[in-house]
Amino acid sequence: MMTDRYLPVLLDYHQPVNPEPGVAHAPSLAEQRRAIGRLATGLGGELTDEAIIVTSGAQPPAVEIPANTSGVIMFSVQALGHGPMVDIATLVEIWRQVGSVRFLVENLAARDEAGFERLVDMFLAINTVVDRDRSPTWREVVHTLSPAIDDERS
Amino acid sequence: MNTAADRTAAILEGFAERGFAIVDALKPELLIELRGQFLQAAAECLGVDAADLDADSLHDLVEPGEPAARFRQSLTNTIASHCDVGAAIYAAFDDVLGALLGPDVLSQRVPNIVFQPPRDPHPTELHRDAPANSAYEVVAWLPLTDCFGTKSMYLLDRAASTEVMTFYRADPNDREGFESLLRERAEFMEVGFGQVLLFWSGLFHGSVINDESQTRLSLNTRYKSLFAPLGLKDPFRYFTVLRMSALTRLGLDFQRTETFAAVDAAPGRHHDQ
Repeated sequence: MMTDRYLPVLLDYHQPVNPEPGVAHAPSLAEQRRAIGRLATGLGGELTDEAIIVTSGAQPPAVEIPANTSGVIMFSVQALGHGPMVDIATLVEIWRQVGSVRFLVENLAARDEAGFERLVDMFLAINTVVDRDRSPTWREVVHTLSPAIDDERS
Repeated sequence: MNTAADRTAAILEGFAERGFAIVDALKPELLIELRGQFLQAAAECLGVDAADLDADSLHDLVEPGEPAARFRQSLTNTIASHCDVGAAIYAAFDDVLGALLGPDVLSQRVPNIVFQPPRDPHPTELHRDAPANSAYEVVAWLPLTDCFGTKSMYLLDRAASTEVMTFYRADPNDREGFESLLRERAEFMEVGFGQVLLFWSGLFHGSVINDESQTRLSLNTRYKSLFAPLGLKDPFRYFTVLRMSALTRLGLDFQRTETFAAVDAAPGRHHDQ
C-alpha cells in the first residue's frame, strides 16, 4: 500500500511580522515545512519533495499538483491571501486536482465535497464582510453610526 | 412579565443600556450536562473518579499557581476534543443570543476556561476585548459553580467603561486616580450556576485574587454575527460557523456555484488541461 504524500504550500512572509503573541518571528520556510511534515506524519503520510512557495499578500500562483499526491497542506489560509481577501478560485483549482486540502495554522480541513463546500462558504462570507468593510462608503456609514468605535480602531 | 418574548425584550433593553445582562437558562438541563462533561474531563486530567469531584472544591486536588495553570491547559485541551461548548451554551440561551446576534452566527472555536482556586496569584488583569476583537461581539461568561464576591469577575458597565476611558485619555499618567475610579465603578457580578453573564466586548472587565473559600471554575466564549464587522483576530482561526439562516444558505450556495463555474470556464487552468 502506498504512503499518502502531501504537497506543502509554504508562505514567504515578506516582512518579519510577529503573527501572534509569543511568537518571536514569522516562521521560516524550513520551520513551516517541518511543522507541515509533522502533520503529514500524524496523518500516516509524508511530504512530497516538491513544495509550493507563496508570497504573503500576493496573488497565489497557479498550483500544479505532482502526480501521486494525496492532498495539499497549506501553512495558513494566508497562502490564499490576495490582499485581505481569500483567493477562492485558486483553492477550487487545487481542490479539483487533489480533493483534499488542509490548513495547518487554522486547523481546517476538507476531505469530501460537503466539507469543502462548508469551507468555501465561510471563506465567501468572510470575503463579503472584508470587501464591504474596506469600502470607503461603508466606513462612512459605520463612522456615522458609531463614531467612538471607529475612532478607537483608527 | 407575561411571555418569553417579554422576557427577551426586557433582557435586551437592559443589555442595550448597560452592555451586559445576567440571564437565567431556559434550558438548565443543558448546563447540567455541560458541567458533567467538564467534571468528567477534569477527572480524566486528574486521574480520579468524576463522581468524587465537586467543582467548588477542586482546590483540594490542585494547588494554586503553576499546577493550576497546567490543569487549566490540560482541561482546555480535553474539553476541546470532547464537546462543542459554544454550541451548548448557545442552545441553553438561544432565546436571548438569537435575538442579539440574528440568524447567522459565528462561535468561538475553543472556549477559554478559568480555574481560579482560592488565593491563586493569577487573576485576569483589567482589559476589554474590543479592540482588538470586533466591537460587534458578545462574550458569554458561564460559571460552573455559583460565583460571587472575589470568586467572580468584575466589570464596568457601558457608562463606567466610557468614563474610565475618558479619564485615562485625559491623563494617562495618573495611575492612582485611574485605579481609584476603577475601584469605585467596578461591579462584582453575582452569577449562579444556571445563569450566564452576557456582556458586550467593549466593556472593561477583569478579576482579582479569589479570597473566598471555594474554587471558581468558569468558561467564557464569544459570538458574533457572521456578517458583522471583523476585529483584528483571524476569523478562520478563532471562529466557526454555528448557524445560518435558510436564506443565507441559498445566497452562499448561489455564490459558490457561480465561483465554481467561473473557475471551470477560465482558460488555461490546470484541471482543464
